[in-house]
Amino acid sequence: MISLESRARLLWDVLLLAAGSLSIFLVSYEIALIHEPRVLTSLIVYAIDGVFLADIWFGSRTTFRAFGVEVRDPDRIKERYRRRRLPIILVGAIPFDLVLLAFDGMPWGVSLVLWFRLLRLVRVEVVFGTIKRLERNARSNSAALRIINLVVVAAVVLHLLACAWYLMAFATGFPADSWAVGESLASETTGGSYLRSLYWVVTTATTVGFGDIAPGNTEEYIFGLGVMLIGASLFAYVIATGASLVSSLNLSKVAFWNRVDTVESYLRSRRVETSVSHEVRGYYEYLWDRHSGVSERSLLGDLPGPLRLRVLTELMRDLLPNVPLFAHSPPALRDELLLSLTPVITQPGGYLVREGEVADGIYFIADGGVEVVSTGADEPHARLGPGDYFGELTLMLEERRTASVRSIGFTEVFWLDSTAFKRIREDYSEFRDVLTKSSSDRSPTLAELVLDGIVL
Amino acid sequence: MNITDEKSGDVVIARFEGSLDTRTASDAMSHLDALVEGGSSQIVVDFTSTDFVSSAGLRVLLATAKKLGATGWLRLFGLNPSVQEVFDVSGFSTIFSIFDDEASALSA
Repeated sequence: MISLESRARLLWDVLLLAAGSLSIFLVSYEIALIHEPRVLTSLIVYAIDGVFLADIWFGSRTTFRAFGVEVRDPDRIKERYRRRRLPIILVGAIPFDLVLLAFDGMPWGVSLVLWFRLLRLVRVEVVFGTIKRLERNARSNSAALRIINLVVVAAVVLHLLACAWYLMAFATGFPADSWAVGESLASETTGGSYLRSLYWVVTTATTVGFGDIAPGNTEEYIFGLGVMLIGASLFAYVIATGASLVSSLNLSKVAFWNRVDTVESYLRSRRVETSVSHEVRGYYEYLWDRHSGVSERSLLGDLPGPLRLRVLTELMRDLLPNVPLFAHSPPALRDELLLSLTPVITQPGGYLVREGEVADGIYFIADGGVEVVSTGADEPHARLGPGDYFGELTLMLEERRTASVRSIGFTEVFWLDSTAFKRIREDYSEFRDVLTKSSSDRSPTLAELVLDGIVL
Repeated sequence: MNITDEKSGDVVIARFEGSLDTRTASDAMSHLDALVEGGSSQIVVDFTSTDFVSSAGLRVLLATAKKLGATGWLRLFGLNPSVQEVFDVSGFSTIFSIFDDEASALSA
């Protein structure tokens, strides 16, 4: 079984994409401009057929995703492959043309073998299907893949139209009123003829229409009309998708800063002091720089419990081994703590707790630093940093705080509210041992604070 | 709060009765200060009859331990579970020598 997210599947998809695109290009180029099968191109075409036949093995063993779950049932995988992909692979890869090598027929001046090779154009479906699959499985922003998709669509359509434009003139024996006669293509090299065809298709499809190459007979006028209609649709699609891609690249950034602007204009309309507005803006700038504008509190609030736990564990993977509280906790207690903690960000100079307040929980410092200050004291009593915590004394002794805690820069803390603290203390007897171990390093600092009459 | 002292060799056992809180902390502080100033450097505090210790009480014990410094010691025993928890969670149980009973506090 091959996982749809595995590296092997990714590499196989890239190979399919490249091989499929090359076969579409070669088959149409050969029929339109070379007209007879050549050994080298035939070998390449059959090698690509081999790759597509191998996809029967690969594809019918690759898992797929349905309703958010990866399906690994071999029967369902095979059935899905048989229904969706197998007919296209068989039509495109079975070399019917080999049978025709024995015949010399040249309808419209082109080898019968090449006409049958046109069946390989059904691989367009595989090429675009593969790009879609890559887009869906892309872990990060799939904008690059959407751009590739756009380029491949435009290139394939323009190439096929260019081949058809030249083939039409060739197959009708270059009539005197044909565009090809005006351009003297009969004496032009293959590459030169292709370039001129492509040039006409692009100028027509993009509505540039220089008019230096123009249809000369009824069939060509009809074809020209078709190219104009297809071209208009194609470029409308390319421009619309391109514009939406560019705007979606910055969508989250624009939405975030629009919200900041709304908040700022509201504060201005309420005549809030400029310094406060600056503090608010500073907070948002920090939120953008450190958290890409996502408030963990609202993000986590949206997620169901078990998923929230997984996200939290990932978000805090650097922090968990370094914060004594988590490092000393057995897994079950650690998970309970993670689910009960509320992330809080404080701006420089902002107060986490204030003197005289009633205890509301324990604060665990994750990043940044705070200072303990009290009325009448010129200097801070202590500075606390990552790994430190406070609030447990007033909580357990049911006293009021005798000092305030002020953030030095931006500080990120996790707050365990008093209700959660009591619940965890009752449910997990080991919580007390964990706190004892966690507090052993900081007890001299705490002792000095208590001696100064500071209780947090 | 009522405090009674008992001598056991060079060791003074101070038996605290009642709550060691903001109201009673100053009396307890004066009592322990007097012991230290009177030359006692080995003090055991009996908390068997103490139901509550506030932050002011913790300060009394920390200040006494600091005064005794490296030359003497302060040992505690008989802490009830809630008082013991305050010591554990705050980390003070690693600063003080805490024992289950009088005999182990004296023989340590």
